[in-house]
Amino acid sequence: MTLFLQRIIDGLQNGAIYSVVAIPMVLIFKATTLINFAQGELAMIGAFFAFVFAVQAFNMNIILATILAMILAAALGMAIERTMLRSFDPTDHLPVVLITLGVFYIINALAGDIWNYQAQNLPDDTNLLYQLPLIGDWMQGRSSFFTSETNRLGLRIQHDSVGLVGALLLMLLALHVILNRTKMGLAFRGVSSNTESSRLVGIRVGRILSFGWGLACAFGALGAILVMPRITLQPNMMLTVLVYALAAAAFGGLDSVGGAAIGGFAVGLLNSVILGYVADIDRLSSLTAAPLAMPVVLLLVVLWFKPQGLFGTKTVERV
Amino acid sequence: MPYQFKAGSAEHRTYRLVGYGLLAVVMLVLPFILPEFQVTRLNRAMAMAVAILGLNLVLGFSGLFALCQSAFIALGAFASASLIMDHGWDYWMTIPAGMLLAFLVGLMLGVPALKIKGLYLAMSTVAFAAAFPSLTKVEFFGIPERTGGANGREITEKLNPPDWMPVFDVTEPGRYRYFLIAALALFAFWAVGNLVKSRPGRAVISIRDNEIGAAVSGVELRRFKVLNFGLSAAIGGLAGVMWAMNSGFVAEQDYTFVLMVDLLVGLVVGGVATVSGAVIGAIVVVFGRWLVQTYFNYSLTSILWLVGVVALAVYLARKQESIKNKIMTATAVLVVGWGLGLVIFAAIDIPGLYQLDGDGPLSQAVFGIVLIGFVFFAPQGIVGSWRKLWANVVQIIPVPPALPDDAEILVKDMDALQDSLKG
Repeated sequence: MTLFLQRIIDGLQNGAIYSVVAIPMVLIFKATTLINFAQGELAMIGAFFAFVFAVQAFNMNIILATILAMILAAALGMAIERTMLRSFDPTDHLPVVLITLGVFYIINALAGDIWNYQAQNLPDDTNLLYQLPLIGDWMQGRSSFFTSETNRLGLRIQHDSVGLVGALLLMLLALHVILNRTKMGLAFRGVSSNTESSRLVGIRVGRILSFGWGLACAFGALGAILVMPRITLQPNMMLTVLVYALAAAAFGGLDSVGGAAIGGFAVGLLNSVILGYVADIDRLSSLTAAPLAMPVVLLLVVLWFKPQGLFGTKTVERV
Repeated sequence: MPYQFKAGSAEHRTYRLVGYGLLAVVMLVLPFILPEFQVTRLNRAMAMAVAILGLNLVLGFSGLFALCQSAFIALGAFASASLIMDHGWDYWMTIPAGMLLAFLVGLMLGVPALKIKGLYLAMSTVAFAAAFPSLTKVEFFGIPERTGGANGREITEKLNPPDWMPVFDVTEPGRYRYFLIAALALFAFWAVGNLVKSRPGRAVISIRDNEIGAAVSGVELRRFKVLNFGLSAAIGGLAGVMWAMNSGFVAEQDYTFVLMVDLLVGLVVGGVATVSGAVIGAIVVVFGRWLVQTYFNYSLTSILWLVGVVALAVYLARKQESIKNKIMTATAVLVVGWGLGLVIFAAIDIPGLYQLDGDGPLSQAVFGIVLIGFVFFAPQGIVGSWRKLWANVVQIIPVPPALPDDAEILVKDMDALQDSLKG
């Protein structure tokens, strides 16, 4: 039982990480019907921005560094959208897919060149969750419960994972408010459901696309900063996460933000529970390699039986 | 005025003969004038060319987003290595086996994803390509033993020139392998070049251009899409076997997503939906990477800054009306941008920002820039641009196919009919 609970906790922890990349991907898909393969790398470079501000160059407080990094990442995302993608017809997929892959390549190489491919040493005070005013104190006060050792329930709940899940829920809430309670969000939803009609009623579609990319990249950066103490900060940190995130986005439905979050948790849970029992438990080595097979299989199963995902809109299209 | 002749005329035949003759001479001479390590690189370029050709079949000719050609190469290579080492097969016998394996895996990926329109195939294939290196280590049916896991698999039985062949030196087997690999590559190019002109090939192209139109004309969309994807996977498998023949060593870290993007760069640089573009693209990718790694030593950040400044200057200058303003704007942007770069790079002192590093990341970034640059400025690729230029020199006028003897000609004078319709 304890083992089972432990698996669920592990699954939720990892699921939060996958959601963090899947949610911005879904946001961009909603805005442009384009799958942004560079999303993981954009989030990664956002985390590096925060690293520069907090550790390498200016020694800022991590909260301030996070805000600055989110702004920079949003600016980068908007710049990429405006300069490289706007001029292409979004229904012609080839150029836009190629460009997102090119961006993926350049950002990955740039980060590898500047910071090299080793994991960075992160001082303790770069853990955003601990530095948050109230929650951080509360979590550190319970350090005997949230430790990397097993606690009194016999469970290993890593310090920041509870905070991570909480932060993810807060992010979702913020996104919900932005998308459903603001004028910009209304316009965004308009563009996402019908670009042409939105243009006709006077919505500036270009601005909304910029807004979507900026929002996605800012949240991606925030997510990457939150998870970087757990998955280490290095240029390839999002490479495997991308595979899970694609599966999560497909599972939840490509055009549903909440679906992406649930998809992320579902992928995390399935991964840890199924593989925990199906794969040979005695041979732990298999567990280290096998997980990546899981999202690929899941993706295929979803595409086969429920292509629109759990919460996605079913597009009626006869082929 | 370009030189013109009709397709199928005597001149056209001579023209083609000269073209193929030149190609044959170059292919025969190249392995003997290049040093051996470059011949090995050339062999890899040929394997890459075949892989890009397969990718082109699915991405260029049928417009489907299959982005896991790297994994199919790997499947072919691993199948070859495992069959030779574990079962004592011959190199040649592993070719159909590798192709079949890649074909089946391609069907497995393609059948569900091709049910639905949109980028779903791209998603599942990207996931597969990115996950592939770790899939080679999954403990399942003894996969890690067959693939060699993280260490890779050495094929100890190398392809060396037989004793009765005096032309080739045993210590330099690259030249011998060159001819074997070139024969396979020529076969693949001949087959695909004919395929895209055949009835199924045209059906596939019609699906790309207009799905509904194709379906109305009686093309079975699903079947052609899936088979086309499977075929491209099989060609990827062939490329994998060629790769294994050349290097005699197969390791998962050669078949990561980086290889996939390399293949895409080759595809776009050579020319989407052209058969000969695959060759150009592969040569650019393989030799370009080597050139960048050896001779190109600049800080990546400053290159990116420079590219950005130049792009901005071009963009702003294009908006100006007069030539004078164009030059003024461009100069101003370049000077300000460069100065700003100097200030910023001096102000932020991050170790690595100035690092002169010619390996891995730099060539990767250069490829990324090349990819985006081609998508923007030359979407038809080198071959497409070349064809446009060459059309100023030589023009081949296509001849409509002859009508069957018993065809009843309803409209005798087409021009007169059109004139009457206008009036």
